[in-house]
Amino acid sequence: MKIKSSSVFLIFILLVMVFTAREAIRFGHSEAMLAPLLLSLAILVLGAIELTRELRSKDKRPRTVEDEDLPPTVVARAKGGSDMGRFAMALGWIGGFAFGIYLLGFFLSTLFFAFLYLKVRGRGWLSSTGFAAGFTVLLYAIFQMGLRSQLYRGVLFGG
Amino acid sequence: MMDAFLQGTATIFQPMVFLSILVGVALGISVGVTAIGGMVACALFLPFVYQLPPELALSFLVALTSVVFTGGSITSVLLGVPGTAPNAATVIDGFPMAQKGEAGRALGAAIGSSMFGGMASVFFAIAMIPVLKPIVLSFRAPEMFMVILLGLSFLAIMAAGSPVKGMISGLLGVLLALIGFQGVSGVYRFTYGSTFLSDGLDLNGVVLGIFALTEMFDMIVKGKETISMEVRKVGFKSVFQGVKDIWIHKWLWLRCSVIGYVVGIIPAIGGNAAMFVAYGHAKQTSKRPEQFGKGCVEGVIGPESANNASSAGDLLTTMAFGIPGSAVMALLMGGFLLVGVTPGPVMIKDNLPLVFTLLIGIAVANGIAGIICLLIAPQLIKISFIRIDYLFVVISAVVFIGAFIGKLSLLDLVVATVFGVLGYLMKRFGYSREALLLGLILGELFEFYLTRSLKIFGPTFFMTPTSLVILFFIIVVFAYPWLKDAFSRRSPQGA
Repeated sequence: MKIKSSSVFLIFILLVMVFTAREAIRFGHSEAMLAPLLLSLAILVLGAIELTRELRSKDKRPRTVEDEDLPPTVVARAKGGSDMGRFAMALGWIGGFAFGIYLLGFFLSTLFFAFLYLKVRGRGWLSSTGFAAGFTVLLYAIFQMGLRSQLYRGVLFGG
Repeated sequence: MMDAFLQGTATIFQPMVFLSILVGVALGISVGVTAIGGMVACALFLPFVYQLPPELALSFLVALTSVVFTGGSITSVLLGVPGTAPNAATVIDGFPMAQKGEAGRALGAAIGSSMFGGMASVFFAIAMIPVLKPIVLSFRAPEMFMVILLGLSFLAIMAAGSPVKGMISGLLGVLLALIGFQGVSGVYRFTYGSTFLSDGLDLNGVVLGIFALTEMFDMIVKGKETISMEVRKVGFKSVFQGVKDIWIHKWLWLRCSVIGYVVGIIPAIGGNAAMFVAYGHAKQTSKRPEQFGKGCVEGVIGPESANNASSAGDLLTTMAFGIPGSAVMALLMGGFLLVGVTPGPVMIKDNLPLVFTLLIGIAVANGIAGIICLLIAPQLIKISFIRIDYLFVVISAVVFIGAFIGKLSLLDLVVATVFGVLGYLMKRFGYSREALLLGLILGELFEFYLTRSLKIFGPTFFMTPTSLVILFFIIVVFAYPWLKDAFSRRSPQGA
């Protein structure tokens, strides 16, 4: 029997709940223990019901909120490539951007991230550079000059 | 009461507050047109209001969220794409009207109904405050705990494909809220020695990750290039024909506004349900129900009156009980907490002028939004051609800055990313992100009222008359999907 990816996700949640319940018992103090223990047990019971239902179900794709709420015109399906591949690519960009912030701070990394992302996605030199520079200046004006937020300057520039 | 009302009204017309409403309206309309949705918008703008005074910050957020549906009606009619989920019913008749060459009339009817519906609901809400105040103040710990459970149950049932998954999401949210130091017992829970986690998860990082980043991941995975593909021309005269239609169907407009307001009051339901109930009502009471779905103006007036009218009901529930009236209100409640205002009975008791300011703010915002949209709707549609690539850059940067601002910690970037991934998986597998957020926001109160109820009333704390009534509603909420299934299975056999 092939287990669906949604069931794998649910099993992961159940394992986390087993761990949570065990941790809750270790808190010792009844007031600290009560809510987490009750909640993790409730999720374990609900999760077990849902898992049984999923494993018995023949429907391959779980119904999502979007399927119910929105008409077909809204849900544009991807053309070619795997969903997980595109998701991993987007996550890679986000991870890279976060690491860039750690190294260079918010403004420089936004400049580089915006330029690189747009260039890699096939935008021209002018539009990539113009948008990256314009957007970085706008962020600087709003957060640094307007709201006077103390944004991180990057480990390379003293943090 | 009258003093608070006058004080609240005067605040609205202070230049900075009025300006913040104007900015909120402009952004709210744009967000509606771009189909980003009210939740993502509210999440994205939270970092900008962090350091503002409460009346400025909250007027801005309330204006932003209450007019998103008005902007969303434009894409619903012209492109067949609902700008927000509560505009979905408008597509059913609005888009066919546009295809028949009546785009302007449909737009006029949609925008006008939204505007008048949103404004009328404020009067209903203000009229209800004197009745609501004693009820809210009479609630003790057991009743408050049951109301929180009711809110979670409603959202779990309404937002997810499966009620069980919805409830799992809500309870997971409550569990996440328990991370950190618990003052009563002096125990650090689930922190594993991390000082970052000892204050609990920062709402900013979680909200931005689970809504904004998730939506970006989803758009990229779906391979979208822009939000819309084609556009129709709109005549200015025909827009006013649509506004005239509202007058012709004024009783339908009034009934649907009341429906929207009443549905909005029920915790955790909001515009999504209101619009479909109103659409059903419009069809049921129409003299030409066979025209519905083929481009009938009543099919536009009904849902559009209801979705904007739900905002005031939503907001009143959120402010009076501290229980978000809808998913968007859950985010807005996050905004309240970020600027130091705690919604709930105390707000109704001690901060009534702010309650009036925000309710009247909805009326003012809807009025301004309606006029702007009626005048420049055809031009506004161009916003929906923004390319996803640019949106990805903008949203990623705002998400990370917003996440960082909360605690000034880079670890919140990790929190936002982790919740972005979790949100994407939840969306993909049919779990409710809205219920998780509601659980996270209400988690502390959930635990507080639970332990207090147990201490004062013992394990049978839910046996008070009001608690039993609320418990009955919770059972009805959970039984509803199964009852509906059972009836729908029986009806074809009987036919």
